[in-house]
Amino acid sequence: MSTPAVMEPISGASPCPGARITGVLYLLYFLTAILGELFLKGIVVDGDATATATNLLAHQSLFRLGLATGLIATALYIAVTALFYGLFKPVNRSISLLAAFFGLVACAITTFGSLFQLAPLVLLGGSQYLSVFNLQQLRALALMFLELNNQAANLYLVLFGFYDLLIGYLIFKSMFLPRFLGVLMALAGLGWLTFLSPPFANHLSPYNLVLGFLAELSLMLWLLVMGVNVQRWQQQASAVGEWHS
Amino acid sequence: MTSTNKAARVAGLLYILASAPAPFSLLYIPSVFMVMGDATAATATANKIRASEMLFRFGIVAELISATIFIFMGLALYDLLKGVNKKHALLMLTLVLISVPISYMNELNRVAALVLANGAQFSSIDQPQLDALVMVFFHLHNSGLQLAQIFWGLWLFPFGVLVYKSGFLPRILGVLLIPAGVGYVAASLTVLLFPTYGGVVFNIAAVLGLLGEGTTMFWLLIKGAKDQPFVEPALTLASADGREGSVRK
Repeated sequence: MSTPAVMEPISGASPCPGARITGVLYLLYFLTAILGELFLKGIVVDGDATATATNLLAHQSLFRLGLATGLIATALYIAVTALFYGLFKPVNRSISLLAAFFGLVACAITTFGSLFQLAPLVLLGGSQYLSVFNLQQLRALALMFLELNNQAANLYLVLFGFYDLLIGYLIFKSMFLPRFLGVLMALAGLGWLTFLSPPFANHLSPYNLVLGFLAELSLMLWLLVMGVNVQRWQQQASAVGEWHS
Repeated sequence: MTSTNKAARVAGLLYILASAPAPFSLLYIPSVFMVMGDATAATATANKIRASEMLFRFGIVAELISATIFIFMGLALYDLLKGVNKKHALLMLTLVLISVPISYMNELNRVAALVLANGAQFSSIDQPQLDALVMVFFHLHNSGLQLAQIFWGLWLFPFGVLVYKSGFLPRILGVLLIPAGVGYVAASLTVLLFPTYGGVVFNIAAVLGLLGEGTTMFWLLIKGAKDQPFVEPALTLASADGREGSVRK
């Protein structure tokens, strides 16, 4: 340990990895994610290839802006996931790591899903080599790719479900965040897990979605406004002796 | 050789190995197979794939090998730099790792192009249409690269900061890594938002990338890490967030 002793008021304890900065990144994630959804809103019409293609070509810049904003939102969520790992490591290192893995794989699938949203831009882009298809065929293919993105969403929502469930458990077991946040996150996790059966999830919509939104909103606001109880975080961290490992 | 020095050289070697297939897989292969332009471009592209299938398959495998080595490069750099700031090192590793499944999934597009190019069994679809779909998946592979490239840029930010603060690597490398990161992210976002300017920004990003990443990977391999710090690392880091200092070990 080369760290000067003056830096360590509590022996063996480490300062809690900034809950505020986690809260700020979480807030930015919320804003970009919502903005991205707003940009894309109304462009894709379920089951109507012609209307979808017309909307998409008419609002191409907006569509691209929505995609880019969504990607930034995912990048922010990745940072939040990494910071959550550090925050909850003192509670249970293995479970915190497991949660991070679920979160990151979900983020990777989310990012890759954007490719299915980019495909319609290729198909409807008017390249000459596509003239072997008639307009209706191209529009149908474009809609097919957009619907593949919905299928990808069913996959990553399940993984986010496991993630939220584990984060809920970690909050509940932690001494530095209120237990009700843990319960809310676990419930949100169960809500996302309904996407194991997409018809069932659609049946419960929008209640399962609202649940997820409210839980994450509460956690974000709590981290932003209240932060975590630093003293108790340090207690838990030094109790585990975690930082010396 | 100190353990830091050895760790730096191993990381440098993995960094070079992970980057080496990129020019072949991501620049040379598309330049060989992708025919641009008129209505027959798709058929010409598909014909080239059918004619040189093995070369095309090598392109896919090279990218998968590159993505796999990238994991171990990330772990090696994490080990090297976690002593500087564990939080930044973890963020760096996370951003490295997230790009790997995207790269892997993206090769599915080239596999799809190959399947369709050899798609005699899809006889219900006209050959010209199959060839056009080959071209679509080839383009999608390129779009997938844009997605992965965001993370190829983002991880350079914590990496640059860590190198700058390390004390055992020259600060200039850290300074060069930041514009390299900006370049990749800007190139991806430009292709997404303003596709017409994509080419120009990518060329600038490639130069910035070579300058930042190229210099760093060869420095790590050839010069390793200094036994004695170049500069005394600030004890308290005197950063806005004073708590950061004591995360150091």
